[in-house]
Amino acid sequence: MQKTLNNPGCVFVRDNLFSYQEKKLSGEKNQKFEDHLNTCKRCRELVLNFQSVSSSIDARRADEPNPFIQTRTIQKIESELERGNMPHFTFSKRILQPLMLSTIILTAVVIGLALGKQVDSEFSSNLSRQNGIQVMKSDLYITDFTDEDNAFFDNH
Amino acid sequence: MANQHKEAILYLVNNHHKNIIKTAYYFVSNMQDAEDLSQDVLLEILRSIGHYKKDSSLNTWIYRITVNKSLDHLRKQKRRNIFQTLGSFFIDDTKGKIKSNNEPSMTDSTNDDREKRKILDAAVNSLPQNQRIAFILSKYDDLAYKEISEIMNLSIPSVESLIHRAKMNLQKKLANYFSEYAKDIK
Repeated sequence: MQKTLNNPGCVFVRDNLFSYQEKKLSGEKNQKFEDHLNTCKRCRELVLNFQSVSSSIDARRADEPNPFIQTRTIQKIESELERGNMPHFTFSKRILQPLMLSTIILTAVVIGLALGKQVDSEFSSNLSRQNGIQVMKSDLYITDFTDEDNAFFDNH
Repeated sequence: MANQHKEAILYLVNNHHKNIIKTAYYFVSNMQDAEDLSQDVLLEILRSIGHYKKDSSLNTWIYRITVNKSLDHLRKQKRRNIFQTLGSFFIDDTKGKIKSNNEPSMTDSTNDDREKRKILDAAVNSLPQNQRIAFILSKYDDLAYKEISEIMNLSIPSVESLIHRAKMNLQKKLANYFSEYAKDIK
């Protein structure tokens, strides 16, 4: 691959792509630009690619809207104005919707916290009961328990 | 509906609608979206005609509203795309695909044209906002620096500078893109 785009000639071409295309380069600069293109294949490709891509600006400018859009737009605007709903729409969109969303999120958080607290208290009461049983067992100095003993502790 | 409203609508649609659609289209790159946006712009004009100050021409004021609405649309689209991308991590991959709004709606565009437009759109959209506005109004809308300066509330030299910097940035971005592309195909 040629070591280009960093040498002064390539940098000059890269920095003047628009000016060259718009024919805004002075005679001397234009000559310098074209002289470099004659010696650098990569810059020639770059200029061709650039011209090809920037020609899509003209293509976009040539695009035309739907010819029936005017009739549709008049109808839509008339119906919007007849409904007179523009201020309500703004109110709903800017105030009501965010307010409702915040309320829903807040409610969900409160419910989540309440459920979490309930589960936590059940868990700690179970834990304290288990601890109590362990203390009772150790107080009795008994290490071997039968299934019946365990059932007794579990039921009391 | 009051007759004056009807007259105002007809005047706006007959004299400004097409320009509004085209300007919006240059910003959002999708004709359907531009047509929808143009309706919002017209409604906004009718809604706020009372606030219109005659220190600028009606045309300038309409351009300003169109540019602002288009930029709003792009911001919303960007937010939507972020949510869709996030959603695609949690939901079915096939449903999470983002619709590319940069696809022009023209049916006669070849794939090659579409590709060129995508490359240019990506480069233009990556410009800082003021450079993008000045570049689009100048190169696509073909407006004079004076008109652009009125729309953007800037001095003419500032507009010249913005357009110059936009061109420099675009040249650099496109040159980098094509040199990367050349590396890839070699």
